[in-house]
Amino acid sequence: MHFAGDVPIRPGDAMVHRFMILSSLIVLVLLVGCQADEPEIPPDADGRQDEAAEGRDGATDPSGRPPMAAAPGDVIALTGTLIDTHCYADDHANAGLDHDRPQGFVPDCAILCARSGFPVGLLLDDKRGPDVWILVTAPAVLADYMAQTVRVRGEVRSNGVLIPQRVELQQGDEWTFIL
Amino acid sequence: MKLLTSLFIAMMFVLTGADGTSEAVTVTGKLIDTKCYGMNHMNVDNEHVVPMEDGTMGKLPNCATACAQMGIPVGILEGGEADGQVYILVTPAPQLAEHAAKDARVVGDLAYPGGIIPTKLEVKNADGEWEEVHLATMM
Repeated sequence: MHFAGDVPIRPGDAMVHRFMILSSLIVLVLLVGCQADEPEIPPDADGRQDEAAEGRDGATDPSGRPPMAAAPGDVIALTGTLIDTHCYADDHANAGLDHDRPQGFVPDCAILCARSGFPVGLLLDDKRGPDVWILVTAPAVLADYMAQTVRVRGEVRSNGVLIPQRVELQQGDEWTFIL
Repeated sequence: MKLLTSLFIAMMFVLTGADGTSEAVTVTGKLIDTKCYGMNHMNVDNEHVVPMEDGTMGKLPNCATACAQMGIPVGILEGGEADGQVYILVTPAPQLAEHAAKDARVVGDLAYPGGIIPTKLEVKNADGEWEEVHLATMM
């Protein structure tokens, strides 16, 4: 019996459905298995080990990745690239200075966005936790360093949000204090 | 093992068509200064308790407005009560300075775990009515 609005299921659809469910189960099992070999967060420059408290802040990560092992109030050190959170959210290719916007190519867009007040983020290579941490500071002070590698030490506000206490710029093999 | 996991995840994303990067949300709460709130969760109004030059704690009037004018990111405190979930609004803070500590309703994309790209922002005016705030966009 069919009700109004029912869509008959074709054999091909059912196969795809079953395949997706099976794949999901396999992925889940593999993910659980991989958790055991995840390394701890390495000590920062001062040798301090970040205190682990996975997911205590309760924030949801839209990327679907597991939360980083840091809790609100923890002081951690992260290394990554300074990005404009607005343009990066639109297109993850916008991690450099120049951005492709719907209106066209914009040179030095990241600098312009930071000077305009759009929050600056830190894009990490680390695949645990959020890939971007929003920095709670005036964006304009970091505008001149956009798309460059920095090391940020700060207090975790929530998952993916950091209140910076010290920011250093990588210049060759050296780190220069900038904030 | 990890390579295999990555391949399966990539395959799932292709099959489901999900990009997994953002989620549409509506949050109602209060506009706060994320830096002062981070120091003290009682700092949900415009006047904040902050460390003074002599080392004591003092009250600073219009602090949230001043911080937003300096560019410190503005957030929305869900529910408006201390210790609620905070989302940073990915938009220039100075344009929201005059609305600091107001009740607000934001519609946008949860592009980051703690950050929303707002597409619509409303604040309650003196008459208790919702009033839309113009949001800047970048090119």
